[in-house]
Amino acid sequence: MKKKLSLGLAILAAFGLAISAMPQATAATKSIKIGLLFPTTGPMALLGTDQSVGAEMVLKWANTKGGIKGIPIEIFKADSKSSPAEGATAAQRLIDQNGVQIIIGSYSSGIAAAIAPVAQRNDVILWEVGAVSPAVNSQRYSNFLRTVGVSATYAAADYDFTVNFLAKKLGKPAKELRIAIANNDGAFATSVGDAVNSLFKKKGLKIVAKEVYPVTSTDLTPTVLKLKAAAPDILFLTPDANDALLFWQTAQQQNFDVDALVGSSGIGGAGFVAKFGAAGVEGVYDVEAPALATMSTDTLEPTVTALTKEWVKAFAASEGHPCAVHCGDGIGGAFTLVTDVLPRALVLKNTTLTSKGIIAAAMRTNIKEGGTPQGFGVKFSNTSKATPGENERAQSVIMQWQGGSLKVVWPANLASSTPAAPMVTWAKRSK
Amino acid sequence: MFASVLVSGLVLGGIYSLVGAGLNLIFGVIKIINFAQGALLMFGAYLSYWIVTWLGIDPYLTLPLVVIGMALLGYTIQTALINPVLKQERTSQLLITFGIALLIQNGALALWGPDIRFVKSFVGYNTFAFFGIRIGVSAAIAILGAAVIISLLFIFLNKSKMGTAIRAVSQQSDSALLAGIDVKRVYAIAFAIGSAMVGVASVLMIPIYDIFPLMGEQFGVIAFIVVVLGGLGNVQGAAIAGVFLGVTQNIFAVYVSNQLSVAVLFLIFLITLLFRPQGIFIRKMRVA
Repeated sequence: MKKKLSLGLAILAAFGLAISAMPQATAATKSIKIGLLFPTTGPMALLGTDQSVGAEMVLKWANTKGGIKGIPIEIFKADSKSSPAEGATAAQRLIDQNGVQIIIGSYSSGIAAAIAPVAQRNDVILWEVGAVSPAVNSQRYSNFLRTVGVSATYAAADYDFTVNFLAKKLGKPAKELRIAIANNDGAFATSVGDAVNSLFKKKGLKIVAKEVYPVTSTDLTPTVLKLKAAAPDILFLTPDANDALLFWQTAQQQNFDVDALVGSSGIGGAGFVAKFGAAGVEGVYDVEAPALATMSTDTLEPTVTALTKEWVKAFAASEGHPCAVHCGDGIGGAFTLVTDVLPRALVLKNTTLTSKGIIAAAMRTNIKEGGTPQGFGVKFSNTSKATPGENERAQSVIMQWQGGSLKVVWPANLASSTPAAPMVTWAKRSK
Repeated sequence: MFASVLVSGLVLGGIYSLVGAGLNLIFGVIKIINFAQGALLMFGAYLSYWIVTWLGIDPYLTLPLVVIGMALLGYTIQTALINPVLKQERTSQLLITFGIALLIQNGALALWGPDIRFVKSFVGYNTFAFFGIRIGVSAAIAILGAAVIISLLFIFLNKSKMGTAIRAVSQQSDSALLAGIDVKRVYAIAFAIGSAMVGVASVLMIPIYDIFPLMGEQFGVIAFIVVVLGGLGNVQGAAIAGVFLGVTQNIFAVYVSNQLSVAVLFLIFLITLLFRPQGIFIRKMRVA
């Protein structure tokens, strides 16, 4: 009797196990849970918040249009506190407590690199709109999708601008130009500096100085003196917000003149013009994704133009400053997600949203130039490529400080103003 | 170029000396490691910034108010937070100043945000140029100011009654107590003076450096190297050590490796700890 009972229980248990192992009938998605994970406190908060607000505006707009195929988006916000460790913790919390399926982040390459493995092991998509270091996805995570260009796009824009504009304006063949590169030793700055160095050398341009200084450096006089001694025509500088101001101040004090300075990051920030005034920054270039507020929308698709103008206006009204580069990153990245990838993902998987479905949908994305608020198209590299999930159509543009405003000047199709060179010398800058 | 590098190193070193001298005084007298030195430097900078903003005066003119404010802050920190833990185990003493540093830093972030702020003094970004060397006027003021303040501190410690009391406490606090010196009050005054010196450093620095919540971190760390190199409690040693570090950093940056120019300071720190933990300068130069 006992033997029969045991056998019966064993059969029941086996049956139960077999049922639980069978694929469950998947329920249709009732809401799309998206986490916004950016540094909204700490040293990166100024620009991290811009990216977060930009992305949130688009997600909310999508909800006013009935969500994605009628399915509402639930937005959860988290703060990475300008720290990779905090970013990873916040990502895990978004997944565990809020059940997010997608995390839109991260502003910083260091933070993105910390969030990416968390997203991957929890089968959540990291939709990267801000970090540009290629090393972020060195592990080739399938759940990593990036809309913004990597540092190579900065280098490509720099090269294009150098050979097709600056060389002519400065009256020298491109290969005779004296090029200097300087960056701090942070992840972002190093990736851009190295990308510029690598591309320019490959194309046979003359690098007369490559300076890397510690991001913690308390004095940039040695860096400026070394660059001055190299007598470059053009300097490509990649600082952060703090050292951008210290560099330019030191350059002024050491009377370091160049015909063109192409900066990034802090060079394009509001603090740069606030400290030195319009005259103090006149003519300085900045290479990045475009500042939406000063970008021409003439070549964008009409519906995209209308939406971009609406969001730019709404951002300025709510945040009290123009929608510049980082706001554009948030808007552009979220736009592709809600208007292209997610609708396709839901169709592919019959209104059930899965990470595999999102990835499959992203691989079919084929947005042409002019089809996004940032002006560039979107096509994600597939898993056969060395770096999957990257937007092969992402582009950086060249902007220039003109009359106290950072205007897109290159390429011509996105330019709202014409570039000017050479840059005025310190002696001739008006106070 | 060498002369320019040397001069810029002297300027940087002057600032290191000033921040380090204040820390050295605190360390030498109270025998605690003040991890909040960098945070206090940042706080002094913000204090000067807000006085400039509210009163519309030149940043250099904020010096008296900042010195008084920082001295009061230092006195309060010592009396309210540090004195109570002096009899407790060493870990508590170490952690309390670490906690104060975090409180000041995060408080600044929460109150004033991460935005970079700056002030412009009457000298602006003007420079002196001589024999091909360029030095900012504000930098020249900083190095002269550092020299004056450290000299005044030396005179105070050696010629005044309170200075004598401070030296007595730093050398033998138990004997000083038996001699009738109010040791805890001396500790508070020492911390106040150390904080006031950081306030002076803040005022001299803000025409040169921008203001943000983490601005004091690197200077606070380098101040420890100044203290170790100069010798615990040796104010003159700290002055020389600061200048040595500034010059070394900049010469190394130009002629060896820019990227390792900050790391080399930590190498000097380690070597000093290993082979000359009492500091580079001989004991008889100790003033506190």
